[in-house]
Amino acid sequence: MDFFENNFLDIKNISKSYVSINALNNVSLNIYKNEIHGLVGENGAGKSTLIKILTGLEIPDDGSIIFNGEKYQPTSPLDAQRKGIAFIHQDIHLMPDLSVAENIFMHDLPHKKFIGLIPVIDRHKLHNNAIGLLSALDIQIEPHILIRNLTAPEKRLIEIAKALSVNAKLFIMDEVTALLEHKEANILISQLEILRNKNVPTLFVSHKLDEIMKISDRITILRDGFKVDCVEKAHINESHLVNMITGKTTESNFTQPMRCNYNKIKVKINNLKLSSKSVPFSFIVRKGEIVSVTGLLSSYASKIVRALVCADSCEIESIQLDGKPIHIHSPQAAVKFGIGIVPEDRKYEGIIPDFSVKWNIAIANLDKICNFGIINRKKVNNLASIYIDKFRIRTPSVDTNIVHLSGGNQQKVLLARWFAKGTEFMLLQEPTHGIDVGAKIEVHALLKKFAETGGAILFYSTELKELCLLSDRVMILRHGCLVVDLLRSECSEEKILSRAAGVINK
Amino acid sequence: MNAFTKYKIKSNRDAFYVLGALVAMFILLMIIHPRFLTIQNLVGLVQQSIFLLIISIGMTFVIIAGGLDLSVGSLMALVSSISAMTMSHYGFLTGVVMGLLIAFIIGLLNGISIVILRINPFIATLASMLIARGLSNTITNARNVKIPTQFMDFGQNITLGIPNLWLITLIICLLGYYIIHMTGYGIKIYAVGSNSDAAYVSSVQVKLVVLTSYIFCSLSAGVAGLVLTFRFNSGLPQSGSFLELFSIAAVVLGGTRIGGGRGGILRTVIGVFLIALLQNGLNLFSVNYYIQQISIGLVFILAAGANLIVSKNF
Amino acid sequence: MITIKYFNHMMITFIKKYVIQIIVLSGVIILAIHDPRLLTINNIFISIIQSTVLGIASIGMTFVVIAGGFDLSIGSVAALSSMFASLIMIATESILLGIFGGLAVGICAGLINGFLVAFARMSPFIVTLGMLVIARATALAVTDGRPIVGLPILINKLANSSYFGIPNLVLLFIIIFILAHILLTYTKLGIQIYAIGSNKKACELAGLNIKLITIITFCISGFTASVAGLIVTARLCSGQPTSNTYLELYAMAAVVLGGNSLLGGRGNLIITLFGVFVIIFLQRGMNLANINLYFQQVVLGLVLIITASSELLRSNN
Repeated sequence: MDFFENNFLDIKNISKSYVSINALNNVSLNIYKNEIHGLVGENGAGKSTLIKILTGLEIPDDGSIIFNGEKYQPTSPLDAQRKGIAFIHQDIHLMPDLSVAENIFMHDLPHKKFIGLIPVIDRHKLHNNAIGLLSALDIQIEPHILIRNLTAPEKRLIEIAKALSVNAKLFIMDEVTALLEHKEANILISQLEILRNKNVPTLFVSHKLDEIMKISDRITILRDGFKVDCVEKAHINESHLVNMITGKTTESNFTQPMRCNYNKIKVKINNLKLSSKSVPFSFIVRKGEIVSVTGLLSSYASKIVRALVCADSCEIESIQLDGKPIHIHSPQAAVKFGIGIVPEDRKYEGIIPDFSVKWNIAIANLDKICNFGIINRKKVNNLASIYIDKFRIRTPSVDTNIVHLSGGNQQKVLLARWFAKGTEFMLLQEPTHGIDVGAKIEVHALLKKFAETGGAILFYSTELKELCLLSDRVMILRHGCLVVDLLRSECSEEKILSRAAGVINK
Repeated sequence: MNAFTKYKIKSNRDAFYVLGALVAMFILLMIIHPRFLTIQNLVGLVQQSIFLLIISIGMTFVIIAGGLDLSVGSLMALVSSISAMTMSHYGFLTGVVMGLLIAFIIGLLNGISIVILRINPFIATLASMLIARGLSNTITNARNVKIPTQFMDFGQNITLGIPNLWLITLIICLLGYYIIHMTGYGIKIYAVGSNSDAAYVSSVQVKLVVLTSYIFCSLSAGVAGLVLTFRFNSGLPQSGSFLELFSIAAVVLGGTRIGGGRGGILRTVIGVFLIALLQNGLNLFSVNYYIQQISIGLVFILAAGANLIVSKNF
Repeated sequence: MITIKYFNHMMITFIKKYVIQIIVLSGVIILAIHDPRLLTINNIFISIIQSTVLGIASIGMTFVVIAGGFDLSIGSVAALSSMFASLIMIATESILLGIFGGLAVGICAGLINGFLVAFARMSPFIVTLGMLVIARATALAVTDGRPIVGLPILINKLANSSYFGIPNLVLLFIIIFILAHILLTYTKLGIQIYAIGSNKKACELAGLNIKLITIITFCISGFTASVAGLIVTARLCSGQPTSNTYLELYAMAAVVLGGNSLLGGRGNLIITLFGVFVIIFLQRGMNLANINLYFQQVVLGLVLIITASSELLRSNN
């Protein structure tokens, strides 16, 4: 690792922006033939955009990429694969009803001739090839088993085996170890090291900082769409890494004053169990309080918010709202109890794409805008105008179709829904995901206002800055268990990241 | 490979349940109706089910790949009519070729509508069902078309001790088995049905696989049409109504799922005989023909309710 | 300079959006030129009367389609309603009871369809396909395929007479159309139907009662199907178990031809009306040109494929 190889993958001055967000700004990165290159950064730092560009899902606005001496501009993931870049990402891309062997060798099924004439699949050879590959990787899974019957970590391992069988020249791994246990992760790591020694490099993206430190030769850190630095592993430790990711050099105490006193409990959740292996925990949210929950992918933290409105499943012993026990059996019931959710995926679960701005607000407030079941158009318009004004929603008119609004303004419309309804407990997932900085500030202000008037908020986010700015309390989860419940005064970006990633502080 | 066979048996448990149901039904009918176990009845049973069997073989292709073909019944009638009419003027071979050609064209039409025009398979195949039915009634004026007397023996002849038409059915079954279970193409059909995105990334040409599955389905409907013509020595433009539903029910009951990437030819054969036994039983007890149709509709809905007919596509 | 470019852009967008309608309209115009009889007042008059059955059935289909679903059982339910109503009319000699009976059949079928789709979460295609078979077979089983004749003549007279110069059936169509349009466009229920068709998941999270709305749309569809069946019964003064075959396919063609999206969430009844008239016009044209009745089915199938493929063009916009 001391000598210089030619840059195998040379990413030069890549920029990419969406509507009003600069996802990548002049980012340059190079990967040597004989290294494992770690890529770290917060959510929204630009990692996924860079990966999308490398795998042909997006085209950069500016800049160029040279791979193996040639210009690299893939048109699709399959095209990228053909050019020699293999990619494994968070979602499992296997055929569940086929066997392990069939999945691995789908691109190159072995044939033989039956009675020397009729072409037939050589299942024997398929089986043996699979056994060969799996045992070379020390993966103890039988090749005839159907993918459907494997556990999630096992599926992940098969995907890795599959990628390795393709003889790629470069691997990109995006959060591949998120749901893997140590033993399985180590299998992968040793394989990547073997590849590296054979001059097949890997670009390894992960939030698990200990892993990054262990596996990478060099690490590139992205922040807010910019490249912060590219460092050699030997020159830094985990704390340094955390500092570079968050951009803070010292642990800062947030000196924002605590909001006005609140001690009425709005909702109490008893013994929430996120997965079969996690320890149940309970928590409360008070009136006027903003509580957040966060964690890595493996923490199942994102499930909590959805589970509370019955849009996701996990075991909850009981829920008490305003002191009274309630049972939420459907999202509709949750709404009746005065609970509103703003989901992470605005496009598919939030907005009603054929409706205008005014109707997106009114759809949750139909009783307010109807007289005996007949729509009162004036009331609809008034309702919309009030919130367009109050929330400063930028739209040509109340009748503009909502898909024409920017992400930030769409989010404000979704918030307006619940404000208009008089919701008292709001649940949000990644409240400012994909929203430009200006709108972020406005959305945060709206949420704070909501709390100030007595509403309770529980939100899930992985944006450290947001967690610190907005929350009165932060619940950090690891592997589905509550690790710590930080008060606002104890919060800092590095503290949250370290606790979530399991980094033990000096 | 002992563990291998054990695993295969375990993961195909449901096929054994269906086989068990088939045997149970056979025994039940044997007990409760005196005429069931006669040569006459059993031969008649097989004679009646060859059409359903041939069509269901083709339907298996489409269903494994995740689609559905509602036009097979009408297509069978169309091919039957066209081949009969062509045979009368242009000879045996031309008649057969024309029939298969028209089946190929309709199959191509289905495939293009669904894969390229992105039309919902239900709607696309309903439309081609209309077209096929309309065409067969138009060209024959809704009347049966007799084939020339010199060809009338073919349907009744026996080769190697087995009636010609049964032989053809057997060949279709074997062909179907070969393609689906022994070729790379067969594995790809399962792949596409199981997870078409993953299949695409694994270098499978998803669109081509789906398109050809519809062509195979139509071709088998074409063969069924030819067999029909020779069985009754005439082209029958009004035959085959609701046959597609029987076929889907047979395939699904056998254990193949729409786009589940599971199932296969053997299961389809079991399913077909299950339905055939059911029908035979109802016939023996002189149950009203319409009640039979009601029961197939009920079987359909029950199968859907039991999540046997669940698809990601519609 | 700018305005011309903008105008061109608008023209192209317009054409892309309505290319199917333009093609079909051209076909209609060609037919009309070929046979000027089509444009006579008399022909238009007859067309309007003939369009009542398809029109009313298409109203129901529009509701289901806008909500994102589908109803393949319309024709069979119409036939079943026809048979049931006829039986009651013969048995009780009361037209009113017969009508109620027929409508009840339609609503029950709709309830069953809606229940299975909403609660058992089955695909509307499969459920209504099953219902198609069951309803049709039941209608045929009632009299072993034979029509029920000898209905009170009054019902025939009612169907054929006019009120203030407008045929009763057309009046019925107008009333149902107006009521349906008000329901869809001006009421709470209507806006919910659009919402569910547009994004079911978002509506669920926003607190709408998806299951109830789904069931209601199928009931409306079943209701209109039974009205269509009763109209045919009245016109023929008999219960016909084989009537209204393929009605659902004609209705679907009308709904999509008019410009409604099969994915749901948009469209309205007025454009459905347009689709209905075009289909009836096409049918009249083909009848007058003595095109084989069976071949007309082929044409319907082709029209179906062409209109269904317009989804693709629209989604590229």
